[in-house]
Amino acid sequence: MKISTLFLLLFFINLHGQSNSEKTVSKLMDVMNIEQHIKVTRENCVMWVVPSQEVEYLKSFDATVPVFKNNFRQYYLSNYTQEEMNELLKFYESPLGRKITGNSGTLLELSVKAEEIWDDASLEVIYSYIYK
Amino acid sequence: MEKLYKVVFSLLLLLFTNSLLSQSVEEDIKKLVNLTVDMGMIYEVKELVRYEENEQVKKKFLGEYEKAVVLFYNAYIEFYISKYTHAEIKEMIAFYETPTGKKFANDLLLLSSNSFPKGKEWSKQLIEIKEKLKK
Repeated sequence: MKISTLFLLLFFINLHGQSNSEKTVSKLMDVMNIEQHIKVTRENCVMWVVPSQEVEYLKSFDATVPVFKNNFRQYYLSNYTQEEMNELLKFYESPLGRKITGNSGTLLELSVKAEEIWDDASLEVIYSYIYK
Repeated sequence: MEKLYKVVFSLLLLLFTNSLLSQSVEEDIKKLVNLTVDMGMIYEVKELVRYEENEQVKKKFLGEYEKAVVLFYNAYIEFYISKYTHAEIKEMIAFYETPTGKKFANDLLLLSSNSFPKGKEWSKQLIEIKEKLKK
């Protein structure tokens, strides 16, 4: 009787620990603005698809999203300790952290733009070097 | 006359201080960008002249390269200056320099370039969809 109670207690402690970590990961995913990342990737990918295949492509793309999210969740659960996740949340739940999250969509779009700026500028540098 | 000198001197001092402050903000933003943005593509280009023997050609290339790097940083400098105070930028740097912040920033880098461990699989899947549609 005592052993079974102990097992039951351990089971609930484990369950509680797991749900705590999963909640933290979900919050982290919000902080990292995963939805925005998926949206930007979706918009970038569809640009390279023939218009007649867009609908079919987007349907297939959307089907991969839950798998990506789950893989992402698993990565954080196995690579970050609860302490590390708490530390991250503490920062991202501060006024500055909230501001960062609020601006993360703009920053993500900017990073795509900055990469294009770099591609254009560096290509010119490379060309002038090759054809010196 | 003495009054005029004082006004001119104060103005010059103000301009000098402002310029120093803005330089320091820009340097901190560059530091933040280096911590949070994948700079691999920037450094790769520089490698082109690693074995260049002609010093003049190398110098010219590096001069042009630096101008391109400035354009890249400027995009971020404009963003951070318009959205954050210098104190907030410093606070971000301090966080991303902690072991956990560093680890997290590195994962953010991988995520933005879609080379996140699990993101790689995702990128592969997305390429496969495109290939499938081509057939």
